[in-house]
Amino acid sequence: MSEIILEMDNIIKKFENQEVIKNISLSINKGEFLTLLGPSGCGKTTTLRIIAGFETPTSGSVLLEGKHVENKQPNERNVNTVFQNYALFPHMNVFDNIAYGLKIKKVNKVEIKKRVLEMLSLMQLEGYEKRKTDQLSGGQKQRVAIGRALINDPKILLLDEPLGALDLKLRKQMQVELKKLQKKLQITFVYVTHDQEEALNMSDRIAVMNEGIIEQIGSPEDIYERPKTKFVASFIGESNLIKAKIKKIDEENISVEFGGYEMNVDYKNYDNLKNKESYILIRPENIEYTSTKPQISKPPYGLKSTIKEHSYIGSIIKTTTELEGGQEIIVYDYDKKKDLIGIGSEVWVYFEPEDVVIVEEGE
Amino acid sequence: MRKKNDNILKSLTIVPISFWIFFFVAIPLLYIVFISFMQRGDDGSIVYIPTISNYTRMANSLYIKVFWDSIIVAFITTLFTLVFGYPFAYFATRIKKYKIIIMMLIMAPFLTNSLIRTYGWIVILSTEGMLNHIFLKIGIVKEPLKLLYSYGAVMIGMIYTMFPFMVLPLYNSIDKLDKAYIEAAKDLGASKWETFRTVTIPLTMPGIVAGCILVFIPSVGLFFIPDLMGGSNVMLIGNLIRNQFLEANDWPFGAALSIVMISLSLILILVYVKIIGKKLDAEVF
Repeated sequence: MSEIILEMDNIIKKFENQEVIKNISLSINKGEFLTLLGPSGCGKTTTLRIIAGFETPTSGSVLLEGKHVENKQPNERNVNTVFQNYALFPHMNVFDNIAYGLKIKKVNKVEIKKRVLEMLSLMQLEGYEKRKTDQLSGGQKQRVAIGRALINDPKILLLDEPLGALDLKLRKQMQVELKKLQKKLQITFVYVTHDQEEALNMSDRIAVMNEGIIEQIGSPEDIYERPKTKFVASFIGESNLIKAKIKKIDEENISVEFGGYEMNVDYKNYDNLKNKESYILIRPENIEYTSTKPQISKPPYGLKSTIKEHSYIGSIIKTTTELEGGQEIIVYDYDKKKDLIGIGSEVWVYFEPEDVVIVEEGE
Repeated sequence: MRKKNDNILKSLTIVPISFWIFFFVAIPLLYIVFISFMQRGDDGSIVYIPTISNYTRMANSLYIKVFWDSIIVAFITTLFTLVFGYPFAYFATRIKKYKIIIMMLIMAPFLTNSLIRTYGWIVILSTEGMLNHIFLKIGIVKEPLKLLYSYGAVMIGMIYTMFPFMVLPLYNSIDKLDKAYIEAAKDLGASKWETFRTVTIPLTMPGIVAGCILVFIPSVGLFFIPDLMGGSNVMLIGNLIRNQFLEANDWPFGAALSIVMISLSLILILVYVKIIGKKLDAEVF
């Protein structure tokens, strides 16, 4: 069991009359890369600002290494932030920006110089110390911002959509670099993003947030392969969600009914027995279609549907088909060489029972 | 097509402004320079014989004191408006709901004549004025205080009149300051005071420089406030120049005094900007 560095208990945050955070409890392990993922307005940035100390929770407690910090000022807690637009001081050069925290702590000049130069080399910014911040590229600014925060040896580094302002190529490159840096330094990272790919790529754990609550927290595989709620399933990756009724649960199987069919699925993780609306989830990459009518015309072997649309998106072709009841099914086709079946043609979609996940409606 | 229209629009705006500056700023200024090198006739007219006597005349302790006093008064006015104006502007930007009302209150006095406002101060400060009346009633003083006709009274009048000129540019630059910089400083361990000293002040320096210039330059030459509130006890450069033109009928000397005043203000401003500019580049620690 790894050591817990930060614990948030029953955090509620209201702005005027609006409840931005409805109730969040979250434990962060020492040295992990945790991502708060969610659409804009879900409360992820507010959560980060509560950890940083820019916001005081309306109720609930925040424990940093076991000590209450919820009423402490940002300068009284040893966590540092990499801001969304970097917020590098425009009246200081790169050296002074990185040295800021040490100068405030009145570290002696020789020591400051040594540590700033070390940080510059870690951030691959050697030779840039005299540069003004407006003479830096986006990626360089980003590295200065990270260096300026890391030089204070924070217990936790908070990153608020730090790659949002970069172009796609640089963003991918920085994702790899950030992850490498985090592994090397063994510092706890709390990372806020709305980009699911970024979250899946970098995180040890992801907390998916929606409307002020955490819908699910788990490893990237958990979140993608075994989403618990409809929101998580549809927010992360593309998904086919079909309304379903759970008929029977036993040791071996769960039997579900959807669209007039009944089938057994292998999904064993279904621990929620509340009688809620349920859905079955099948990822588009786990579905295929064929124009030859299968011998058994029921799921998972074959479901009659009509091709609606093909769209070419580079590495794959995304095909939308429609089941008889009107439900749309998206299929990813990686084998682009095969001739496309024309729009309006009848096809049979099929999948493996073990690729079916059962999710619930959520709060 | 669009470009052509833009050019027409540009010349439509620039041409009148250039004319205005040429006829109402450049020509009068050149004329002042010109007559400052002329002589005064016995009847007070201008005699067009070149001379530098108007300038050499100023090398007199009496006139030097007038210049010195004017600069000190302008300096103190600038300092006080800055010290009061900065916190005022700072808090005005923080009260989001009422900031427009507060700034309107600051602007409101501009709607009345500044001469009338100065008379208002006389009503308050004079020996039989409101302030003395209240002091006598409460019993703080036995004899009415001589508040008016002193350097103190002139300072009050000047600070009052120049205050908006300081607050407006300060308000502007403080309002524009991105709060993320302040949060970044706090995040990096700076206390409120350290944040203010190392981030807020340097980043609002353009407003401070603009405010100081806008207050200092007019303060050197203002004459009606020293006239009305300083009386015969206060002689500043503005009054001296006015007297040359309106009472002594010595236009050449008045012109020479004006030229020296303008040059002196410009030199001081240049030095000030140089120092501040250097400070901005230097470390704030």
